[in-house]
Amino acid sequence: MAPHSMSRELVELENRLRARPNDAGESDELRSRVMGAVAVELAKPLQSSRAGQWDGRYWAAAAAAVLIVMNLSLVSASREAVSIHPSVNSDQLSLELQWVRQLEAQPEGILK
Amino acid sequence: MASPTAHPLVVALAGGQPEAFAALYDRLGRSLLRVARVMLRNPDEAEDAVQDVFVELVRRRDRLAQVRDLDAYVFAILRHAIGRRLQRQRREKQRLTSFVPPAADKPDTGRADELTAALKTLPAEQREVIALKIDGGLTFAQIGEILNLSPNTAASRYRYAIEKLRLALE
Repeated sequence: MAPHSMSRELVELENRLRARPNDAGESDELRSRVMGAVAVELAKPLQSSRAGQWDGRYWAAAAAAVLIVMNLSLVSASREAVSIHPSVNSDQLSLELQWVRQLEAQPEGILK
Repeated sequence: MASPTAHPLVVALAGGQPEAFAALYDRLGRSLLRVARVMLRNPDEAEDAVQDVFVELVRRRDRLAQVRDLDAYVFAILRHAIGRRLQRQRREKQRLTSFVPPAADKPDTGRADELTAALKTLPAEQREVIALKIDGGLTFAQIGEILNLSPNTAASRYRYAIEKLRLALE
């Protein structure tokens, strides 16, 4: 039903609502605050152009992060492939392998 | 009551002229604050919501030229700002009630009369349509645009809300 066909009772209620205390209060203070915020925001570049800048920076940072992670993974994998332990060099490793082979072949001889 | 959109004002707003934002505040600031007070039931939050609206308008000023009804657009921004704040209020309330028992709703200014108290008991959807009509001074066409309803549906919702308010006052 359209509002013009509302009963007189409802129209009176509507008028009471309009007249109720819901004043803005402190509006001058709020006005200054809002205008201050507007001035700060106006000093910044427009959101759309700023978003473009941030998009560019975001993708550059993301690409750099992916490259760093990939590089670290490669370094780590190659280290594992080259040596069993960083403190063991290849000479030590070959001596130890020789010792193990001797132990397998003649366990008593080495233990004596 | 909000007056129809003045085209030169939209142009000035889109151009980022501070005086245009001041003029818009002088035209709608009070109505915006009244609506925000009804919806948020907290005067400080309501003021912050009004500030959010103007900050958002500055950020979106390059899109203002496409706006058909500036007043409806501004109130739609307010509605989003209020929605975000209500969500945060709900989260805060949930967090607090896990530590302390829920307290009764405090009147926001101490001047709340019977009518204001009854208005607070209405569901948010009904309070919203009353606030936009009575406190925002908007037409049903504008309210429909903001709430994504036809003007007739907005009018029916308003009448239903007023009727419910009358029953709450009995």
